[in-house]
Amino acid sequence: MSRTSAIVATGQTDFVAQRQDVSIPEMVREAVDRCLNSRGLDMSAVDAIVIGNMELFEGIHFPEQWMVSTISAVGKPVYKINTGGTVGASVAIMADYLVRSGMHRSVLGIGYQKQSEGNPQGNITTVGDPTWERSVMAGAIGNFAVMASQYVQRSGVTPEQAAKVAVKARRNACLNPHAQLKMPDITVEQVMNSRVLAWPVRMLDMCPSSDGAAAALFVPSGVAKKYAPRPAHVASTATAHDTQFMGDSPYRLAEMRSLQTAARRAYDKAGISDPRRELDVVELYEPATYAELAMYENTFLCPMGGGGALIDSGATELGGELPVNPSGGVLSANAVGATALVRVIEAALQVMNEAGEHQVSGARWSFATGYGGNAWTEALVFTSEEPS
Amino acid sequence: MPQEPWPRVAVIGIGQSGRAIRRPDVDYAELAQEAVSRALTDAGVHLTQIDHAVTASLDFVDGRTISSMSVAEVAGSFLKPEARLCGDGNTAMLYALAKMRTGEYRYGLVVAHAKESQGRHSDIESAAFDPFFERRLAPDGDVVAGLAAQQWYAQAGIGPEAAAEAVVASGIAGRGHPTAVGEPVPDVQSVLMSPMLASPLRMRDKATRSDGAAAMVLAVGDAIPDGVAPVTVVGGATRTDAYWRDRDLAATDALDATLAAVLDSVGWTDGPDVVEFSAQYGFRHLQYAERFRSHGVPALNLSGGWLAGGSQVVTGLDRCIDVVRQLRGTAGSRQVKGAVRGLSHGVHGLGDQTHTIVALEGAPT
Repeated sequence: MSRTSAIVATGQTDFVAQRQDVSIPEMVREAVDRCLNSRGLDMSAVDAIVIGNMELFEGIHFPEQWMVSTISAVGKPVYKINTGGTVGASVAIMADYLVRSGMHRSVLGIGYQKQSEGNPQGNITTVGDPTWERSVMAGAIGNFAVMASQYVQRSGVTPEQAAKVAVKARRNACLNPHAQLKMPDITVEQVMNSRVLAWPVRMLDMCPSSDGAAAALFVPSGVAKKYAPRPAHVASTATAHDTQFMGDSPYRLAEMRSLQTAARRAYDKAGISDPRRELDVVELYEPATYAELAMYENTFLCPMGGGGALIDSGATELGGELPVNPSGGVLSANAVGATALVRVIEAALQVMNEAGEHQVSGARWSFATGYGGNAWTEALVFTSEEPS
Repeated sequence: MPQEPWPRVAVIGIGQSGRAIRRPDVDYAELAQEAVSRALTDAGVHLTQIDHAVTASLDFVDGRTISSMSVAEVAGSFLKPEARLCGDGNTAMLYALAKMRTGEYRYGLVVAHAKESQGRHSDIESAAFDPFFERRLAPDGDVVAGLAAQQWYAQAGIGPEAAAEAVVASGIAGRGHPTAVGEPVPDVQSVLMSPMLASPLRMRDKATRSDGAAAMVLAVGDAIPDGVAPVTVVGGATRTDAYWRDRDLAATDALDATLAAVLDSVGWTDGPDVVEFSAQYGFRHLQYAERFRSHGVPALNLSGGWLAGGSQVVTGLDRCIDVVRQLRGTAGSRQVKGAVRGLSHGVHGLGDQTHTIVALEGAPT
């Protein structure tokens, strides 16, 4: 089927460490209103809703059902999806399929997490097998520390190169009104001297924990221009999952086979053969600095082992040859259920030429990823070009 | 759902795990694997041929965040797409249908699983209530069902006896069925004299919780085997009502809207020949049966439905599998002669907040 979908409206709350002024449904409503109001729409324009969230984080069972009245979704199809850190990308991919298949005329994708109301690290630990893994897991930080150690050993990247990622992210965040960690004066030395969380990951190498929500409206590409002057057409989507046991995927950050598979699949479907040259901007799901360097390699933006050299070159800076995470990325805001959808939205905003102060001039092709669980991976390519 | 020249999506394999109130011999991934293996055998397809999977499960029930991670491998998703819907298995069917209709995949797998014996469901369901105003009252799904039953009995002029008769009849209908769990309730008095659950509901008014999984293999185009007349998934719909305290619990608005949307989309000139619907309580059986009968459906829940055996999340896909058996003509003593059109129905949430229906067609005999 040649039918494609497009994102025509987006909305994000501002991401902060703790939103005490709103309940979870109210926070989601804020993102929904910002999305629909940006085009003068209301919920009558929405045929179906896909909601993504990690429900154990806040301890709310059936969370989507709690909020349907608040977001004016009563009587509509409401789908709830949970795939881990990837969930925001899973929301976008499901919305794309529901529109492309003709099942629904317009789909509102929503991702949210109010991490201040729960114990995310404790709950992430439950992702491990209760018999074999859980007793030695330590939330996301311990997981990334193991992966970063493997990556450093294999690639030879230095703490200084990882720190450059942190500096880029927090400075870019200053240009994004929704980002949480805005640090205009951050330095490489500051990152390298921040306290160790789990070797080699230091405090400023790691993403924050955030409250926030995001929403995006998907419609068929054929009608997208009725909604937005420059829609973000979904050129391709791809999903690839790794094994459930960490021990079954050796050198997980050095050889991210699921990310390689998803990225290659998404590029092929979109007709991209040289992503470094053909993409204009990239939004990677990088919960830690070392992960971004590894993801450069495993999304084929540079040769394997070339992640450190790529950050050194300045190519991924805003204004560089291929800006990566001009929004500030996950390192500047991470409300897990929303985070991958934010990557999708930021990639879409770039090709829509609506990214504001962190707009990459002339962006026509963008790429976004989602990452979570044990190397669960999703990849999406967007373009401003009308599908043929 | 528009009637466009989408590729035909066929059900080529069905499978269900063994069912019991408690399955201590397997973990929940192994339970899912049982159903998947049986569905693959039925389809004549190897796990490596599966292009994508859609699973249905609930983290709270599995006691594990991203609980689908351990099921994705048994669903054939190593380095392949898997998506997990948090809801009834019928909803996973809808997403799988959408993916298959785009023509990107040849074989798809739908899996629903719940190991209810491993959780304290009163605590789990309590977490579905508003944390500020309701949760301290320790409510659960049975409390909402009790309130709904009180209201509906008063409105409809029906008493607990009629609901108890539905429970007994469902148990009898389910005798010998692959998903039946436990001994059927012998008589109406056994229901009415069972311990109080949530007034006016008694313990035996409700389906027995159990461990189970169900799976279905879908195929498109030349992946559909030659020489057989497989069942086609022709449409589906889902609707979500307001949160339990914001609506008339005795009303069936979401069911009615879902049913109307499905029938509108499939464009059948005659009504369905067979319907398998999900009712966890006797009074819900009466309510929902009346709604389906209003569309002229002669054959309802010949399997005994959820009241004879099943579990949350899995019930919709179980119902779907029973409809497939009917449309294949392999339903044995329960077979409806000449059945061609069927609907399967699943529910999800407090007070059945979400309803999902899948429409299937068989080949005329």
